[in-house]
Amino acid sequence: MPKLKRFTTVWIWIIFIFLTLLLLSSNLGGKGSWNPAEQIIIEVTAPFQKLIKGTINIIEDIWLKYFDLVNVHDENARLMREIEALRIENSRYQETLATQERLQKLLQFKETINWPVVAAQVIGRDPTGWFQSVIIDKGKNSGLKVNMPVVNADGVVGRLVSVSPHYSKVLLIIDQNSAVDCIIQRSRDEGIVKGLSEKLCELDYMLKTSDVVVGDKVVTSGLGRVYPKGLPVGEVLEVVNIPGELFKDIKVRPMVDFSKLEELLVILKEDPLVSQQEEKD
Amino acid sequence: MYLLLWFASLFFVLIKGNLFNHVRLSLFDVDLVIIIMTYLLVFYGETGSGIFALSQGLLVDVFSGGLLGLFTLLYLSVFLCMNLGSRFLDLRSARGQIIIISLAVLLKGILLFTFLNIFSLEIHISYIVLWAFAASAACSGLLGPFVFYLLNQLKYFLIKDLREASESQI
Repeated sequence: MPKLKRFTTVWIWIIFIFLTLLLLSSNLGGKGSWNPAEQIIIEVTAPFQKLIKGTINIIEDIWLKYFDLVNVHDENARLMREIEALRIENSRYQETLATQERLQKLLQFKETINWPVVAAQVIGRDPTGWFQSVIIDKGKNSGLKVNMPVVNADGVVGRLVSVSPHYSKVLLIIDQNSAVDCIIQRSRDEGIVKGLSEKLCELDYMLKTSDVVVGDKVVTSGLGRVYPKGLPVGEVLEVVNIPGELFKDIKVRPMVDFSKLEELLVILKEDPLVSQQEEKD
Repeated sequence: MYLLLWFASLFFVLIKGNLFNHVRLSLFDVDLVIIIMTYLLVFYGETGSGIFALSQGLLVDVFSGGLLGLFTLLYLSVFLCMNLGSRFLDLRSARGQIIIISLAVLLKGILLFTFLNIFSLEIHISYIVLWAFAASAACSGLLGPFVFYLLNQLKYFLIKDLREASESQI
């Protein structure tokens, strides 16, 4: 029996070697493609290979992503912090740019005024809502006195009504108790600009014979002791001739946007009456 | 606590102008000063509340572009009327607080209008202003009990802290 078994084994090996040699000889001819037997093998095994590869890929994916996710939260927080910091920085740059533009306009305006000026910053507004005034961060120590005119790059803002060593109160031209002696730039007709609301003033004492049309520029006349001549005040918005009235009813839109007051210039032009009063005191 | 309230009111007056300029509600006047004044009248008596009214009025006058003394007179008048009203209303109840604060804010508006006319200050009054008076009075009144509650809580915590500190020292 052992002899028979050995004989069978030998024959099996011989068949295997023969088949191998047969396969080798069949490929020696240079045929590139798989033969039918190979194709069958491939067709049967390839789906398994595909499945295994897919599974490996999924496992690899999950494994790698798991490790990534461990750090993603920290990285996300770091990136959010970076974005926030960059946003703040960007906002600071925008603010600096806006301030620079405003100051440049103010500087250009300063060149047109023949008086020495002091730049000041608005630090507070009227708390009552009934009067129109602002507090600025310059006072007596900077040479400021009562009744000095205050302007910005767009035009007349108001005049100083109270002064302390470091701070001053400015009564805006839109306050209903403010009055500015003005002229129409084109026709040189005179009138007095009084405040009505934040966006509107009225031009009083303008005779019916005067030449005023919508769109005319209103500038300071220089007659009221306070404001130098030629500073822009506003633009005529509406002209109404009321029958039986002596004067025209004229509405003026101020040049200055009073809701956005930030940097101002105080013109160091003293009111002679205030100076006389101070000398007496 | 009194000083704390004084500084809270000072802070409110200082930021009020800027705040209302941002939200464009200059005449809508939810008056925290009057609410605190009422609180002081209830818990600190007439003198404390009266001094507060006088000082806050002066402060508003200093920062306002109006006639100096106008708001001092206004707040003092409101205080006197409030003091009178406190005899008829229970200011410790939410109902009493709402009524007295609303009436005080409304009275402040009416007195302001009267004073402006007496002192010949040219202020144009329109229907919007009257609505603003009414809305301010209603909102201030409704806010009153809430502020009272917050201030009472704050007072409770402050007293508790002080008591604990003194006990630990002993």
